Amino acid sequence: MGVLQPKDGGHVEFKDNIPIYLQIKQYLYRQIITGKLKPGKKIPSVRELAVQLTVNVNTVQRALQQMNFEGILYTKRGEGNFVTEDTTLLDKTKRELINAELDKFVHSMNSLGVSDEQILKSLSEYLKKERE
Amino acid sequence: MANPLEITDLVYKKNQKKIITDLNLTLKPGKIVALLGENGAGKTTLMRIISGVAKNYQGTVKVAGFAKESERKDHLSFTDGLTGFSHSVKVNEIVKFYQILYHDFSLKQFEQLRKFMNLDSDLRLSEMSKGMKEKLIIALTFSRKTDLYLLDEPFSGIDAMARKKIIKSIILWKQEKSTILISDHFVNEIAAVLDEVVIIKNKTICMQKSTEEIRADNQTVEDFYESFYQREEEE
Amino acid sequence: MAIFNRYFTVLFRLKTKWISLLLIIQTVASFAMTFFNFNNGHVYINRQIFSNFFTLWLAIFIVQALLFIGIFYLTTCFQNERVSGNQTWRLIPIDDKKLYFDNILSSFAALLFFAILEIICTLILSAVTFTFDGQFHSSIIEMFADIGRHLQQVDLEIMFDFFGALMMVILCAFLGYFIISFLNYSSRALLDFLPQALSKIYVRVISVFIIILVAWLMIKANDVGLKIISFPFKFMFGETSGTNDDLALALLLMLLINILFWFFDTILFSKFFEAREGK
Repeated sequence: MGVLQPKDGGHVEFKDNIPIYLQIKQYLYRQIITGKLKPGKKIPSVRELAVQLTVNVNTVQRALQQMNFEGILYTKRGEGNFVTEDTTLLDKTKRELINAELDKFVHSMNSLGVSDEQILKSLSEYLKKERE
Repeated sequence: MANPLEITDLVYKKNQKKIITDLNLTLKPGKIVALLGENGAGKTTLMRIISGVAKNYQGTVKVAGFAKESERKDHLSFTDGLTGFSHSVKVNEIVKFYQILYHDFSLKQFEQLRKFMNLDSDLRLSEMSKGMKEKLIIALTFSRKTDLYLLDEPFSGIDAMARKKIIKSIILWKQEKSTILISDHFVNEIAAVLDEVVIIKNKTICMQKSTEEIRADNQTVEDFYESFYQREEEE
Repeated sequence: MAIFNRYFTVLFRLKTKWISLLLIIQTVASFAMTFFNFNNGHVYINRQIFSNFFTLWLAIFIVQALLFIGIFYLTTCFQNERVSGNQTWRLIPIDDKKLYFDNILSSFAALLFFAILEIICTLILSAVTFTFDGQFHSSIIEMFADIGRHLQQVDLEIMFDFFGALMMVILCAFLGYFIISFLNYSSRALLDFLPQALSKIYVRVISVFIIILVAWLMIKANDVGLKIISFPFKFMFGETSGTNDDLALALLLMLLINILFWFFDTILFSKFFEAREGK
């Protein structure tokens, strides 16, 4: 992904050549997976999110609608949007996010001419060095 | 509900020279739209025609379904440069003027906006910086409850902090059904809050497109806008 | 109708903003003039009449009152045109026809208000003079007796003449506003309409033409006007021998010219006259 660069104070910069509603979704997925938005808890209102992210209210609405449709959020009438408590769905989302990141990583490695085996090798070497 | 703005076949001349020609534009309710174009492309003129202060044009202009000038003025809120006030006038005196003459002006809303913008109500116009004055103008404009808001270059010549405040106030105080038209010759700073862009070139509107559609084509809004003017340079 | 009244109120406040300052200047100026002239022993002061300080002050104050009403009238003319051409004022949701009428009417109301204040100030000063100057005291009593004698002879015709003269002054004030607006609007509308190069020459020719026309009208009106304006004073001093057969006609003519200009101004204002860009 790498689209979102959270800065100090939770400020987020969006890329202007990717639909913003997609970037808002990515942002919220991350918030949920990293536990900043907890399962079963209410997420900020549409307007709050719009102000916080400095984006259009309609765009936030579109992102939340899709997430509602996917089931990761659910709406209580008159109360707002809540994060699902369905752990299998949350796990699935997390896996998808990881896969997407890996996908991108592998793609860029391949484009550098690095083979799959080499990727595995250099990754484990890299991690060993980093952890020391 | 009628569209907040509908313009058909607008032609406007000054000194026998066409400033605007065959312009058609419709804005739907609940949108934030940028009116983009070079300096002198006719953005201010278009806003003045919509507001009913520029006269003697051909074609029809409807604001919330109303074509009569005084009714249009009643259904839109335009960022006025406050030239009708002397420099020694204080913020609260300007507010009194608005309160008496605009029946839809909400003092409560203004006070919220004023506090949000950190403006002192005892301040005089002459004591204000460009950014403060622009913030005051925005606060006054949004304190009215109308179908259409016309912001004429609200970001020109002001610092980044004031700009951020103004953008946040647009998100915070916009009513669901009202539409905001923001003119600018530079789109980058507001791109994220826009629903649509309208590009004015060669005295007419040459493009109206949703920002998310532009991004779906892997283009930035700014590149999209600039492509219209680059084409002209190449020709 | 509500917006008409509210707009009027705000305009009236705008136009009467400097009234207190003007009155203070006038009072101080007239006092200072009296003070220096009275104590310097100038020969051109008639010591027979102006034996008292207050009497001289009153006389100077009255002369200055006319001057200040004139000055105030000019400020209202200026304010009329400033409001007409200003975006802040033109954005208010009110019909242009009503806006124009509001503008003129509020100026006239402000003028009337100023004139009344001047009269009140003069009366106060007169009352003071009345108590301090015995000579003034007796001549005032004599004058009132005189007026009382004339009043017994007042008939309908004289009443008509008196109110007619008053009416004429009012119509003249309005005509001034209308003509200035007409010059402003028509030249501006032409300036916007004609090609850049042509418009400058054209407007010069037109404005010269209009000025000549106005001057001619004023000279024509002067014959009648002078008679009419001097009438109330003649009446005061009991010289009501001159008949004013022309008055009714003059009034009617004046009213017609006023309505005509008002009509043209309203059309020019609502169809052609734009507010300047307010950035």
